[in-house]
Parts: sequence; structure tokens; C-alpha cells
Amino acid sequence: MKNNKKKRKTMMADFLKNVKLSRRTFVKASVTTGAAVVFSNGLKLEMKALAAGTASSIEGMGKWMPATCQGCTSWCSLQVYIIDGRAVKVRGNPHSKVNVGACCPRSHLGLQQLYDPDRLKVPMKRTNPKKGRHEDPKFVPISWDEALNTIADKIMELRKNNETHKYMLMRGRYSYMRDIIYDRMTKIIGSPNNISHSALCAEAEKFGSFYTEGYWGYRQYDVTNARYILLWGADPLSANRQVSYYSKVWGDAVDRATIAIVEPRLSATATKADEWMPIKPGHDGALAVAIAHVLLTKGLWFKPFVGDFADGLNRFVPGQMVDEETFEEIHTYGVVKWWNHELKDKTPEWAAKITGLDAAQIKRVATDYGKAAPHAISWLGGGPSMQVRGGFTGMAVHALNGIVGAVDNEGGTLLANKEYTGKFPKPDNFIDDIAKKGKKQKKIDQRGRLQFPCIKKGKPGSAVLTNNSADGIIKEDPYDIKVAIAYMNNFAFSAPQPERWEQALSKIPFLTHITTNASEFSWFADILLPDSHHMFEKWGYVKSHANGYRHVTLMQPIVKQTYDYKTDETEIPWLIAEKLAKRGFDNLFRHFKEYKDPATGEAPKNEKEFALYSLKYATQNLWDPAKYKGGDKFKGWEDFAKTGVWNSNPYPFRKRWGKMKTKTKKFEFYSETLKAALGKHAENHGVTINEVMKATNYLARGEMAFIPHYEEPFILGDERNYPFVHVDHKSRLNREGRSANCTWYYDFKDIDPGDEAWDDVAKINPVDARPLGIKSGDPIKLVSPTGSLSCTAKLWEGVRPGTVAKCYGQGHWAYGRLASKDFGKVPRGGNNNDIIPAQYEALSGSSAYYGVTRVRVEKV
Amino acid sequence: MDVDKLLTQEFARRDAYKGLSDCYKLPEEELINTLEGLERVFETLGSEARSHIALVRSEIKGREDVDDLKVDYARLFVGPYNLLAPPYGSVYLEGERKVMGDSTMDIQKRYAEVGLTTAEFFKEIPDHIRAELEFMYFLIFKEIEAIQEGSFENVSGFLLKQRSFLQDHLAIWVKGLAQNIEVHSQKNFYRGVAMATRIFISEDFSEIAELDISEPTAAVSLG
Repeated sequence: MKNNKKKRKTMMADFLKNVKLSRRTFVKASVTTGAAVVFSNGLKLEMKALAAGTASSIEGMGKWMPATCQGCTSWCSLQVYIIDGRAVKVRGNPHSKVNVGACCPRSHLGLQQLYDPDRLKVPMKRTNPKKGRHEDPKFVPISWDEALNTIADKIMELRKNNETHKYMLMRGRYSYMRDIIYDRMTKIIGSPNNISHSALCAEAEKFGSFYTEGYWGYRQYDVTNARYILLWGADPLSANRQVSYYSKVWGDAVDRATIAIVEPRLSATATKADEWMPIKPGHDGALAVAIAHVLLTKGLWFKPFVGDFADGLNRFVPGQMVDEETFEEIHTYGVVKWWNHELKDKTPEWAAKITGLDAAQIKRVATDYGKAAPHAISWLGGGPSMQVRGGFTGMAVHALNGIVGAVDNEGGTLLANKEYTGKFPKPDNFIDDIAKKGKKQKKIDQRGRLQFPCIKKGKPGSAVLTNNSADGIIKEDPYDIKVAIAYMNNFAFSAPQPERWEQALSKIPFLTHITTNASEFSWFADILLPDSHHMFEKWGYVKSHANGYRHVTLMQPIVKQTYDYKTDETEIPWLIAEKLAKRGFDNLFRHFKEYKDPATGEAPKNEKEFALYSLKYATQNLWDPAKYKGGDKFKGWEDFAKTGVWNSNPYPFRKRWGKMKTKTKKFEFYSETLKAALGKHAENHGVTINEVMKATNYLARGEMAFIPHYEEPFILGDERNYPFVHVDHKSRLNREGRSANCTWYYDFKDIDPGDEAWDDVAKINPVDARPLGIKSGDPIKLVSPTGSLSCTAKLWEGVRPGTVAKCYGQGHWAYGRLASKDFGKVPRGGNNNDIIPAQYEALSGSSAYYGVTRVRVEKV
Repeated sequence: MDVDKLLTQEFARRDAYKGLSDCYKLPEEELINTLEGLERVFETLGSEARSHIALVRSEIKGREDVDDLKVDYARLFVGPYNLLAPPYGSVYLEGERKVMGDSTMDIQKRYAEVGLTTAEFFKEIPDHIRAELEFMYFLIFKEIEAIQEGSFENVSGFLLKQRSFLQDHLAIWVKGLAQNIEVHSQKNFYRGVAMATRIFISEDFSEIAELDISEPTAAVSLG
């Protein structure tokens, strides 16, 4: 053999020498292929990975291309620099009036997500039929065709057996293309079970503004015109929402306004505040009503909004009832009722005892806040509201805006501006009898039951109870789920007490997960479908608001495709519909054919056209000059796509005064709106409202159920065994829970105050740590009544004594190579949800994340 | 000199790259044919890689299917979780765990220089091991054409391209890939394939590195 080798080397060397001497004169070789040809077609070039042609030329090579970031729910409009089809850097889209050319640190991590070698690259199927945390799924690659055929067969089986309600769609991060897969597909197949992640996100926060001013949504805050900004468990310089915008203008806000922040932990925003109020977790409601008490007793309410005593004499005297007849309200309702039932005794001294804050600070903050009226923001974050008894706290915090007239006002709290995107075609004509029957069944999350009112926008049983779906599935109550599709969610990591999800998902006989990265959730799937990355690879749009504007920002495929992925909300449902049609059920496919390109009137012929046409269809009013309704004007689709974002008209201040979407049309301090909603729920169950309050773990009885008020928090764990209250918070670098496989996440983790690079620390006040003999760097365990996690101790004065703060985001046991220390066995850091019990703010359906559990610290 | 004999060797080199490229596809029944062919070309070349291929071939010979290899294949080269042997050049060459790095762009440029790109149906990135092995197959294919056509400039040109490609890319990172496969493979199969790949490329590179190849006087014709 060696001879052979030597001979070969010599041959080529000789050949080259000879031809060099004789140049072009050497005898042409024979064209016979000789004995060495072992593969067929030895004479013909046969390629399987490469092909003739030059690298597909992406329009905008070496250009800033428009994009949208969904790393958090700020939904900023971005631009990405693309060279040769590759994304290399990121900046804010200068055309957006919402994030005004700014982007935040997390947007850059999108690049590492995009080019993560651990991404899901091709469809895969499970080959180990056993499901469980300790069962390797043994996924193997399959074709799209095989994956889609399998899914279609499973759906057809449900249809054949008249049990389409046993189909379930779970939604995580979505764009507004969502209704195709979430609403239309689920309805036409015939299931009531489209379950959103929303209740893990913020619904209790929306409760506060809905039952005071009739607005179920995120607010925007006019910070540059504000003179006082009072934040409650919100950290806009780090997390949710409009982080880019607020980070950009915060310097101006700090210059013009006094900033106070209520938060047990020194957050990024707290480091820039004038007043830090490190409250005892869960007692925000006491502080809110004490501030309201001061505002009224000192006569600091904004009279053009609230009104005044007829004779101008302030009767709000501590401890004294007020005759309702003496006060003439203008745009608000029930201020005297609120005073009489809740506020009259809630002095700063009373609140100081409960909240652990200083009475003088409470008075000072309340007074300065009132003096800044109406340019005084009370900014409700998830902290005070996403608690078991957080619904009324949310109302109390938001109601302060009502007292100072900041609602809908300059320098105050605003809603979303009007935008003009359209709805997708109606599915009604395609919902057949089987589907109609299936749709009528109760939902798997058990919303609307006595203990789960979930009263979104005043309608009992209308809000999703995401985390409880796991219990519904496990207990088969109301029935079993047989076929489920989920996209861009990871409930087996992101939901409190995630082990319930492991159990629930193991129980579903056929689960498909559509995702960019296989996660803890995917571990239990039968089929995995690779998803496009929202920021670089997908057609879609989202809308958000800040700075007095709303924008609609586009997602577009702007990079050269790397792997064999398809888009969750459009392409994949189209392909499933196609397969269903081939099996004799073509309703969904015929429905999708109605999503015609508004420019040409043509129906889509394939999934790619469907993705684009449905986007053009939904946004036509924004880009088609013939349909113009307001805001930015474009010449046509190309013009809109090139710019990447549409901006609304400026905010119409005070337009809603007297026209709010409450029962009374006014800002309600006594919520007739909530009264009606609770009444409806009580009536549905044949009980009294007091019984509803009891079933939902609230202490309020009688009139208190309709009034913003303080309730003692419901915190799991006794103080003796669990001496500290757990404080969960979010990182500046969290792209939801999906940053853990990016090195930059760990490199820069110390930009979160108190945190450390390449570590996951629980922050403990030195006063608490020393008696336990714990030092910074010690490996520790946090143990709650429902679970435990491992992390590192960090002694830090930035947490209130008696609390332990830890950031959410790490602790993955299955999310790529870097995300776990030892894949499948040892997570990197700890997942906060492992210690957070599955508890709810039941009126909104929200999961409780804050002030919900006590923990103890164990040295490892 | 006997050009036919030289061609026999070059065909074998060419087919060795092609056969190896096919070994990194999702394993299907045709794999056994690929291994048979590979064994023969390694025989022709006198490569030390032959014995490794012979061993893995005997292991899967006579099987009805190769499905059990798929799980190992996925764990090593696809994921979806803890991708154990990322089949991408940039992961090894750039020291960061990412794809589409500068080295990937360089590969893309080299493909474009000879009128190639990754195929639409390939759905992978340009520096995937399959594409790089196939690129060598292509360059040798073109080199053989040049020999047959008597175009000296093109022979030198394609040999130089092979050398610089091996030197800057494949011959470097294939070692890291093979090491990952050897450490993490649960089956002997991929361990054998990895060893064969590493050995053959190292042999081929050392030979081509020693050749005295003149710069072509004109641009390589892609005819």
C-alpha cells in the first residue's frame, strides 16, 4: 500500500514537472475513466450540497435592513446590517417614533441566537416512545413531508372520531400573524383549546387599568413631560416595556422629574432614582392607599379631573367619614366612597408599619407626587400586581393616576394610539358541524370556574389561565388532550412549578413543538418543527406604543437561510392545511386561499406566498394609498417594506375624559365595572360575590370588592422554616427565557445590578447572610415549600433585609450546549420557577410570580 | 509518462471526497454502497483510512436498515439539544460557538469563485462538512477535466485551489470534528468514519502540500 501511495505522489509530481517543461504540448489523456471509478456517473459532475450559481443575492447586501425585535414585549423596530446575506450588527430603526432609533442591549443577542449551532435545523421525530425527564427522546431527522403527514393523520383521526376538542394549540411568543394558527386553524379543526402564554406575562397588570379606566392593555408613560415618576415594581431600563425608548430618554426624564421607585431590590431604574422605597414584598397596596390618603387630606387631587367639594372646603380629614353629596365629581366616579371605605384611616404611619418604609419618606413622596399633578405618573409594573392578591393592588396603584389627573394627560399615563391594521378573513363559513360541536366544549385551562373568574374586559371566563392547563391535562378535567401543537413557548421552564408541565406533556399522546431551539418543552414532543427567527427570517408584524405614538413594525426575511426552517404562524399552518385537504378535509385550505394579495388579487399558491400575502392583507390600510386612514403615508407595499415601520398620529391628550370604557364612562375609584363583572360571575355559579371573593383567596367582602384597597399578601411558607421572601426579577439581557445559550448573556450578566458575569447569584443582604455563615461565592440552595434550586450566594446591600432576590433566565436543563452545565443533568444556574408555586391572581388568571413564596437559604 | 495511471489516482481521490461527503448525510440504505466504494478508492490510494472503513462496513453489512445510526447521527451533527460534533468549520476555526462566521464567508467566496453556491435543497450552511468535502470533489473533478483537456494552467489552478482550501479550512478543522466524533459517538460507526476522514485528509493534504505547483499564468478557466 505504501508503494501505491508513493507512486501516486511521484506521478503527480512527474506530471507537473513534465508539463511545466513541455507546457501545453503533453499528450491528451484518454477520456476513459479507468478502473478507479467506483461511484456511478463517474463522468458526470454529481453534487448534493453545492450547485452552480453564485451566492443568492439578497437585496440589500451591505445594507441596513428593517427588522423587529421580540426579545421582550417592547417590540422595537430595528435595522440589521446585512453583508452577503449575513447579519452582522443591529441598531434601532430611525424611522420609528416609538423607539426613536434606539435599541437595548438584548437586541444584540439576537445575532447569537440566529447563528447558534444548537438551533433546531430540520424536522425531527421522537424514536423513544417513553416520555419523561429522564427519557432521552432520541430525536432523528425526518423530512417536512413525513412530519406534516403524521400531524395531518393525527388531526384527521380526531375529526373522524368527533373529538376535535381534544386538539390543543399552545402559543408562546407571537406576532400579529398569530390568528392564522391560533384562532382560525383551531376553530376550523374544531377545538376551544387555543391557550396563550399571556397569563404568564402580565394580565394582572391590565386588570388594574381596566377596572379603573376601562383599558385592558399596556400603558405608555409620557416621561419627558412628567414632573414626578413613581414606579411600582417596574424596571423600564431593564425589562418590559419600551426599554429602548425609556433608556434613550431617561436622562431627560431624570433632569425634569423627581423619580421614586417602590421595589424591594435596587433595580437598574432604582439606581437612577431620587427615592428608593425598598418595600416589604406584597405590601404595595398599603403604600398606594396611604399615598392616596395624603393626596386627599392635603388637597392635592387634580380638581379639573376629579372635581371638588361644592363649597371648596376639604373634608378629607383623617379618620372622618365624608358625605358623598358634598363632593361634585367631574371625570371620576366614587372618590368619596373610596375615602369612606378604604382611605380615611390609611395614614402614612399606618403604612410605614406594614410596608417597613419610613413614614416621613411616604409623606414626602406622596406630597411631591401630588404637587406635580397632573404631570405625575404612577407606573404599575408586574411586581405589585402579579401576586395572589394583586388585582386590587393594581387598581390602587393605577388609581393614583386618577387622583392627580395624569390619566390621558401630558406627562401622565396614556393608552395605545389608534392603528389601522385589518383582520384576517372570517372563518365562519369553514367551520363545519363537527368543528362547531367541538368548539362548544369547555376549555382545558378551567377558566370561568368559581375559583377562576378570569374576567378579562368584564367578561367572566374570558382570560386565559395558562399555567392551570397543565392541571387540566393531568387530571383530564374536563377531558383528555390527544393532539397538541405548540409554538415558541417553553411552559416546562417558564411556568411556575414546571414539573407539572413535565407530567402533563408526558401524558399527551401526540405533541408537536414548533421552535427555533429545542427546549425543556420539546423534550416531551413527538415531532419537532424548526422555526424561523422572528428578527431575521419571518414575515410578520407587531404593534407597540411609547413616546405618544404607536408603531406597526414589520418582520421580514432579510438573511440568507441557514437551516431548513419554516415560519410558525403562516407557512406551517398552510402546509398542514394542504395535507388535511389531501385527506378529504379541505376547509382550512379553502379558507387560507382567501388571503389574497391585495396588490394583485391573486390567491396564494404555496406557503411562501401565503406568508407574504397574509401580511400584506393585514397591513393594507397602512401601505395602500387608496386605503389611507391616518399616520405615516406610503407609496405602496415596497415603500412600507423598505421603511419597515408605520407610525400613528400623535397622542390625542384628554380625549377620553368623560368617555372611558367603564360602566360610568368615568375613571372609577368605586368600580361599577368590576361590580358588574363579579356579579355576572357570581350569577353564573349561583353564589354571592362574597363567595367569589372567598373562592379566589381574596379577603375583601361587601363593597370592598369593588374598591382599590390593601390586602395582606398571600405568601406561601411559614416564616420559621422559610425566613426570606423571594424576589424574582428580570434581566436586561433576557430575551424572554431564551438567552441562555448565548455567551454574551454570561459575559455581560453583571450589567444587572448586583449580578455577576458567568454566574447566577441569589442576592442576600449581608445583615441576613452573616448569621447564616454565608459568604459571596458560596454555592447555595434556595428552598421553597414547592421546590428548590441551586445557585451562588452574593452578599449585597441592594436587597431589602428579609428578602432574597434572584434573576430569572438561567437554570435550563435542556436548551443547548451552553445553557446547561452538564446537558440533561445539571442546569447552569437555577430556574426561579422551580421555587415559585403555581398560584394565581384568579380574577385575571395571571400566574403569581412576586411576593408569592418564602424561601430558606441552605449552604451546599 | 502514463497519464491514465495518474488519472486513476485522481479519480480515486475525487471519489474518496465524494464518498466521505455522503457518509455525513442522514444514514439511509445506500450507505452500504458508499462504504464499499470508499473502501475500494482507499485501496487504490493506498490510504490508511481503508481499514477503518472496512471495519465499519463489516459492522453494518447485511442489515435491513441503518435506523439505529440515525440517533447517533442526530446527536453528533444535528442536535437538537447538545450538538456534540458541530459539522461546521466556523465553530472550530473561529473559537466561538457560532455559525456563519468570517471563515464561512470565506468559504462562500471560494465557492463563488468557481461558480458554485450551496444548493437550494441542501438547507445547510456553506461550511458544513458535507459541502466542504463535496467542494474538494468538485475541484478534483475540474482538475481531472483539465488533465484530460491538456490544459496545464487549469490543472495547476485547481490543484492550488485544493491546497489552499485544505490549508486554510478543511484540513485544519476536520481534526477537531473528528475528535468530537471519536469522543462522543455512541456507535463505532461514526468513530470509524471520523478516523477515516481525518486520516485521508491528512494524507491528501501532506501530499498536495509538497507538490511544486506553479501559479497558473492565466485565470483558471471554468469551461
